[in-house]
Amino acid sequence: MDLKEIQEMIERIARSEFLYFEMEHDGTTLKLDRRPDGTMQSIGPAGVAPAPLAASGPVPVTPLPVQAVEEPAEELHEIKSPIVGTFYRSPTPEAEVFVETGSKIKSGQTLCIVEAMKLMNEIECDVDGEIVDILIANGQPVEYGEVLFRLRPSAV
Amino acid sequence: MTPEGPHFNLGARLPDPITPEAVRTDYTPKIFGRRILYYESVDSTNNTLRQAASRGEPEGTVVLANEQTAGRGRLNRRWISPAGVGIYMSLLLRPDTSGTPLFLYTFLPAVATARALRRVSGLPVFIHWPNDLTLRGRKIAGILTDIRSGRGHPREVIIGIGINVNNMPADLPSELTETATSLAMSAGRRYSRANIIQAILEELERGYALMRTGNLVDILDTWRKLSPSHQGTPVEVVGGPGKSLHGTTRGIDDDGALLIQCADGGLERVAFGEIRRVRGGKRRAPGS
Repeated sequence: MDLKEIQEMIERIARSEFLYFEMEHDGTTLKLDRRPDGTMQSIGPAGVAPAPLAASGPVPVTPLPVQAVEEPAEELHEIKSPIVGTFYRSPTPEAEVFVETGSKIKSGQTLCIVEAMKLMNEIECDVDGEIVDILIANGQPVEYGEVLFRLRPSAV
Repeated sequence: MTPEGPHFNLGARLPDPITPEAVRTDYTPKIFGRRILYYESVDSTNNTLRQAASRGEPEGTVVLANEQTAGRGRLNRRWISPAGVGIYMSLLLRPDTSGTPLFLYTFLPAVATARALRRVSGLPVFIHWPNDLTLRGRKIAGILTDIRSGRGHPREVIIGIGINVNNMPADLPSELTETATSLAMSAGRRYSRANIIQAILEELERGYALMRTGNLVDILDTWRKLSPSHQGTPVEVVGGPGKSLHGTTRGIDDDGALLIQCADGGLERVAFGEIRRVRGGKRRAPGS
């Protein structure tokens, strides 16, 4: 597994309802544990929103492949949803997506639409930079304050 | 009696201009209508106003068009907008703070439009959550609000309103004849589009002034009065969070979300998704 695949897996699990996850693949072991005190807890009823990664504290990942450990911690800029609603990556179902992972973005550029109650809320970027992660799939519900995108801001 | 059907004839159509001169209100507007941009034909009034907004047009600017060639609703659904018969208008707001709850930008135009249509026509126009307007169970007006937000706050709000006023059955595509209507089809007479536009601008002016002072009670109370289907109506919610949901409406909360009591007795809060009124339920929506 490369770093990108590991990051993607962490993102997916962070959005799920799993409190504990462990896997072994090609000599790499990945363990994700966000139980508050390390004990297994029952999971809430179906429909309970999964806790966002940021709210559940750092997710310990052990052991990490060498390149992950050596990767310097990076300050990524987060774009959060201002409302509860449905996340859309394009202005209309048939249209091109606003942005892709790797897209270079200017401040003020539209990243997505979050819709609720026939309010089509276009979310604009507030920095120049590059899209590193798109955390929500098209058409999925998002919570207030949920992280939608992570960007690597351009060097000033 | 409802004279709906393909055979009635309201005689020759008289001129019904909606130019800035024709829709000028008796009072001097503080916000809505102090600047009116009129077009014979545009793709969509929301798109046109958005371009105008990026040129720096002020809050309260109104775009009116005699025809839309690509009028749109939610999820790129079309709003059929033939020349000379409907109202196709968009209004620009530039919120100065983030204090106003966003849902009011969709409730306010619904209330203003319903009140204006009732005042001018005397017909029983109702609202269905969040902002569908119906007359005798058929859709008569649609509202779509486009917001641009940066740093978590709305900075530009464009409210689009489409109303079927003097449309005849032939003006509606065949797939909509069972679900849509116009004032003229329902009442058997035509209405002045300019009078309705003036009434909407006046209602918006009044409602927005209240909203800006933080008085939300008036809008919410009027919305509730004009939306009997938000209480005790069997509905299905699709496209909301999770799977589709069946239940009975139990009012709205202070954030404009619809409360739905499910078959198992649980109360669900629905902030988005599409509400379909379930026909043939034990109780039909009043006004539908």
